[in-house]
Amino acid sequence: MASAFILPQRGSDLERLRSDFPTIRADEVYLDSVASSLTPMPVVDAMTDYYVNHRANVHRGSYDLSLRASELYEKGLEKIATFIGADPAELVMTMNATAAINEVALTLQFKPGDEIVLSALEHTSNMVPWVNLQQKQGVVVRWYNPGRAGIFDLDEFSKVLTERTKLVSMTWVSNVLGSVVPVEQVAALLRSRGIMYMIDACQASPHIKMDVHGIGCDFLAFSGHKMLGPTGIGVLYLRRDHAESMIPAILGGGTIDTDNCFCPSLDECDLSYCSFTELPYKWQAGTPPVAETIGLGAAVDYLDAVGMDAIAAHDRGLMSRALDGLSAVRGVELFGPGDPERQLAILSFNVPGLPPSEVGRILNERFKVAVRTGHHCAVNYFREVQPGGLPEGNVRSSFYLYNTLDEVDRFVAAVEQIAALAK
Amino acid sequence: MHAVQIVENVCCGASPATPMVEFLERKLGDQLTVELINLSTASGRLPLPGALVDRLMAEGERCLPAMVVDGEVVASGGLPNYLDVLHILEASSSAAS
Repeated sequence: MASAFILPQRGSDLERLRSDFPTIRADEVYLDSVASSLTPMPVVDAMTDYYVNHRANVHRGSYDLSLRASELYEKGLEKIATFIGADPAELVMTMNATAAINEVALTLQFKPGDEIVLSALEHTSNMVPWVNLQQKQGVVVRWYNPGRAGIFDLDEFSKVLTERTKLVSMTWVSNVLGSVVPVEQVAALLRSRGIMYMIDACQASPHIKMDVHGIGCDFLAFSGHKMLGPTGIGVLYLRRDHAESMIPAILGGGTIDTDNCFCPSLDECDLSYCSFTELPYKWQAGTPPVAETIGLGAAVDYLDAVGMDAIAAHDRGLMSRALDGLSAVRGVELFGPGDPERQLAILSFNVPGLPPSEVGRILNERFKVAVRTGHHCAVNYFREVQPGGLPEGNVRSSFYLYNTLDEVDRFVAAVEQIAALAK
Repeated sequence: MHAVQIVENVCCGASPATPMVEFLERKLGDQLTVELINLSTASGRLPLPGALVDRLMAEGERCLPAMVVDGEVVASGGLPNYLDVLHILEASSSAAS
């Protein structure tokens, strides 16, 4: 388990932390944590312990092995809930954030003409489920465009809201630009207008201390694999009143209290004769991701031990260095707010004259630097800022608690050499 | 003056090698000629070097796309990245001189 690290960008503490991540190699630089973070050994160990020592299904088992598995699962759930300031009863463990957003989209009932507001920065996963409702339920999707740098303007945003707006679903942190939405202010505005607020927290959860009750949002989703946890797990937060009153779109084993189903006959049986199980099981259809919940619980322990404030400070140090470095490279076109106080651990760019895919390829093949290139599933943003034809996207680097200033320097030096190609 | 040939077999749509051709022409246009040969649309006698023809006979399409510099196959089964291409051309120049 990680012990209270004070995260400098250099030094023995950081080296000790890096040794927890077996994927890290001295000759490789991993700058794609936005897509997926690396996983520390305590997370791997927690999941291995479950599989080796406690492998059974959870709940409903009356034998010791199942009881132990259930206890570990419940502990994981509780840690995750505490991490985001929620009650365990308000959480659903899903496959990933995409599934979590889809679960809300499939559950909510709208009337034709009701409006849903999204931003132009949304990831496909927080766009398609809502756009799909245009055809299925006759809703109207309206768009807020925060511009090329992605800087959120509450006044401009409020102009998109109308009397028909029923839901706003937006990312907390842009996965392309690292720009940050002031979620507390947005939530207060939407609350005053009686509009539901769903937050895509995929890029916030690895870096920002979250408090869903403090924010006052209705729904929030994030993925485990971006915050040191395993793949195959996402988290959906539903505010308790919604969790209690709404009927889940996805039903199955565990969601219905079968001891309290009083159907007069098989032919006449429907849900009106049945009761749902208590929260959070009402929303947890089928066997939950047991090992993954235990693993994500261990990831939360790890993040807590390092400290989210320390991680945020570390992020700012890396971002500041990267911004300074790339800004000084002639010809490089930067995206985002350009201020480490307003741009969270994500720095994307282009080298005019070179396709982003080629820049990424050279970074990998010649310099062993891992970045991502393309649209980053935010094609609406690129259609706005790269009009005409199919937009080429950009090159995205991203930083996390295990990255070092030396790695940032290596990355900047590599980009400098690549940019010289374009001259 | 280098003669660069990029040989590919693209059935439809834009050639993925076009950006590389544009890059080389922009970067070294006065030092080389670049020819993009698409086997799926080319007709008549193709100026392919014997070494590439041998590979095509032995490996089929797996050796495409390929890059030929001054008659020598310098890459097959995939094109090198831009930085490597420049180094290949630089090495060819050094060898020639």
